[in-house]
Amino acid sequence: MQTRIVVEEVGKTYVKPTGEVVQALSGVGMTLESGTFYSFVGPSGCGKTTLLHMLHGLLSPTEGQIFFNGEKVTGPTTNKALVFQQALLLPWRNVVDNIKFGLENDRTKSEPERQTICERYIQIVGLRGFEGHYPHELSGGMQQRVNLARALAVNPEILLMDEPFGSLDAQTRQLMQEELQRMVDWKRSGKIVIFVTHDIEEAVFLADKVFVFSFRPGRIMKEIDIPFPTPRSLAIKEDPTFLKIKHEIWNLLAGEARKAMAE
Amino acid sequence: MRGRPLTFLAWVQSAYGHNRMLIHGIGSLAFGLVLWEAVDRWFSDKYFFTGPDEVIKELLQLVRDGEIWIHLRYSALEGVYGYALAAAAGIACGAMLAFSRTLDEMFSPVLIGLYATPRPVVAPLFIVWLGLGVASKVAVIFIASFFPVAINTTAGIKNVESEFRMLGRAFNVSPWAMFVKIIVPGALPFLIAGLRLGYSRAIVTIMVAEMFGSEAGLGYMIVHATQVFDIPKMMVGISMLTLWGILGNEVLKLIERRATPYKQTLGI
Amino acid sequence: MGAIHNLYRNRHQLINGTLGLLFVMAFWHWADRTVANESFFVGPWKVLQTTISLFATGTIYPHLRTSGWEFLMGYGIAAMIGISLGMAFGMSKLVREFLDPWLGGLYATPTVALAPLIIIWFGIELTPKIIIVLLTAVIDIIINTYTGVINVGQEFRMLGMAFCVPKRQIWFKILLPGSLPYIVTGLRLATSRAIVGVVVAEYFGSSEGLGWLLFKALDTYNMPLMISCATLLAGTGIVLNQGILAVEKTMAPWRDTKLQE
Repeated sequence: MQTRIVVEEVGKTYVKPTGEVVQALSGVGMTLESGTFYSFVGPSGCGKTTLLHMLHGLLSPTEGQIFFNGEKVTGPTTNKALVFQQALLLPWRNVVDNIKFGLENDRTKSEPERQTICERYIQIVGLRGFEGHYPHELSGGMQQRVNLARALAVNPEILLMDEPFGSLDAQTRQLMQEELQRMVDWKRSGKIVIFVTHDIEEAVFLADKVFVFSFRPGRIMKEIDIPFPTPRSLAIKEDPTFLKIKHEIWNLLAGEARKAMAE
Repeated sequence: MRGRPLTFLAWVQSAYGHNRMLIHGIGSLAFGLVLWEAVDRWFSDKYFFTGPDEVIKELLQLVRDGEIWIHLRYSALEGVYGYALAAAAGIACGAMLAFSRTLDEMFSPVLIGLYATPRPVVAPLFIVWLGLGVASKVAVIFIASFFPVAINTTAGIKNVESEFRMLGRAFNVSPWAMFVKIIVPGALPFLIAGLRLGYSRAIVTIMVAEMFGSEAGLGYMIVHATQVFDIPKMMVGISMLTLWGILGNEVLKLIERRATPYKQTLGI
Repeated sequence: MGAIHNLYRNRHQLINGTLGLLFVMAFWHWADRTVANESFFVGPWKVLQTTISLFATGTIYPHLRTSGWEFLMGYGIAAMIGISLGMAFGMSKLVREFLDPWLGGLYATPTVALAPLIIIWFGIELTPKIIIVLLTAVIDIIINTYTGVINVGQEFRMLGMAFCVPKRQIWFKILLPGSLPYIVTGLRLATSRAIVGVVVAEYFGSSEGLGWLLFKALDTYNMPLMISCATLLAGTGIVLNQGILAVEKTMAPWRDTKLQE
């Protein structure tokens, strides 16, 4: 069955402890189809992470509704998984046990099954040989691999990624972008992948479709389909069409980014 | 938000929201006092238990006949000398250990060992050596407060990140400026933690040191009142020491907030 | 052994550490020679002899048993109460706001000053001593547990929520292991306080125990016995402290245990 997410006129308003009312997001509508990679790109403070958390159910919208396969999203469920911006690995668990964290809540699987699944994802994210290492012994890139494997291991229908490469160095970041396509493999598994970033190039490179967000209150300024077939190699970043799309988005965002900087 | 008509209920809610901490705090203290008085009424046996009213009466009596001043002055003298000397010596020795690796390796284990030594153990020794007067108590309080101050000073200075030292060198900072601008501010949070710990130990030690033999003082007063089962007098002594503890702690907390406003604290 | 290894991270440190200890011993010995008055000052050798004879004649065992029992009971109950209260403080805003002034007060109160009062209320049996030890030890455990739970942080709780971890499991999988190193630190600091509690409690009403023996020695100006008792008590404190410190380091290798309290 085709899974799909429908976001209807969603907005989010919250009150700061100082009493100031902030409208983070307003009038967002979109339909997300399975087997597709979506990027949300926008300046800091455009509410894209807020939207991601609402899609997951960690936050609830103050206006509008979100439906997943026709059912209203009211809270986190096991068919959605979140990849955090900071790796958020439990320091007292080694790599295997950190990857097992989400899987442990799946009562339908036995411990040996969980172990097998873990091993498969360790292989996929390329951490063979590091199973017994603790987070403080891993580099930033490796920590993000564990973060990703932890989310993939629960075999979610929706994979939500909150700027997972934000803290990596530029080269590692490039390589991780390329590898991510193989590791997630959304076309074959029919997952919906949502990737939040403020790096335009990264958004265009990874996504089948890019949503461009305005500064607060966040709205969708434009939806752009990326015509390149997947999997893509880093070489397409030099392609004229790629550069054209990149510039188009930058032109949309430049003014918004200035507003964000002035805050 | 503004301009919305303010109903009484909304006003109460917002006042509660804004002063939640304060209201709960006052409520909690009031609850404690009521509980104390209630237990006192319930235990009608005055021999064993006193309510807040009798303690205040006793305090007024002690103020009137002047006895309290003798004890307060005596203990204050011990506390001030002991703590001030410990703070000065602790910071100096701690800094010395932090700057000399060999000294640190030689004496840190000894220091940490002595730090774990329970203080009542040294009190009798100093009474034998220095007599029943103020000197022996000053020495014991010194011992009690010196170690936390020294150990925290060493830890604080060593903890100043080497990156920051490098930053100083990169800007060609003189050794003096390096000390004043980088090492002191970097070590300050630890140092203040040490001073606070030293203070709380000093207050406990006033009691412990006077317990073993003294001529006057709050601890002496408490022990003597115990021997004649004078509960209100005991409570006065305990309250005075507690008050010193709380006041000093608040003052040091204030200094801590002023000196290191960037550091998050628990509020204790 | 682990404790010693941790204390001296390399041979260089071991050599210098030993030198430091020898230096202190030599100073002690020199002071003894200079003072040369046994009712006033005794050297390390005499203390060792006295300690050995205390064990050889067996006179020390009843005292060890009494003090040990007081310590274990008081400290054990303090650990249970302290960890539960600290957890409650860390997890419930209401508890925090309602009890914070009392925690601050307890922190600043010289709890040993309450000892005579407690002896009057509960007699000179074991109970009041356990209560005194409990009171002196509990505060460090509460505060450190509290700090630990706070430090586990909101984002780890969010992680639990995001992966649909049931409420009770969040407790076992995140809050407890995350605050465990802090709890152990609290338990370590509490040992030294609990020993103070034992000695003070025995002062106010007892006929047995290491603390009592110490006072008896003071009363009779028996210097060797006094320092022997003092060394035993101090030694217990140091061994417990270093032992738990070693546990801390093996338990939480990701956290550098600094000597800040």
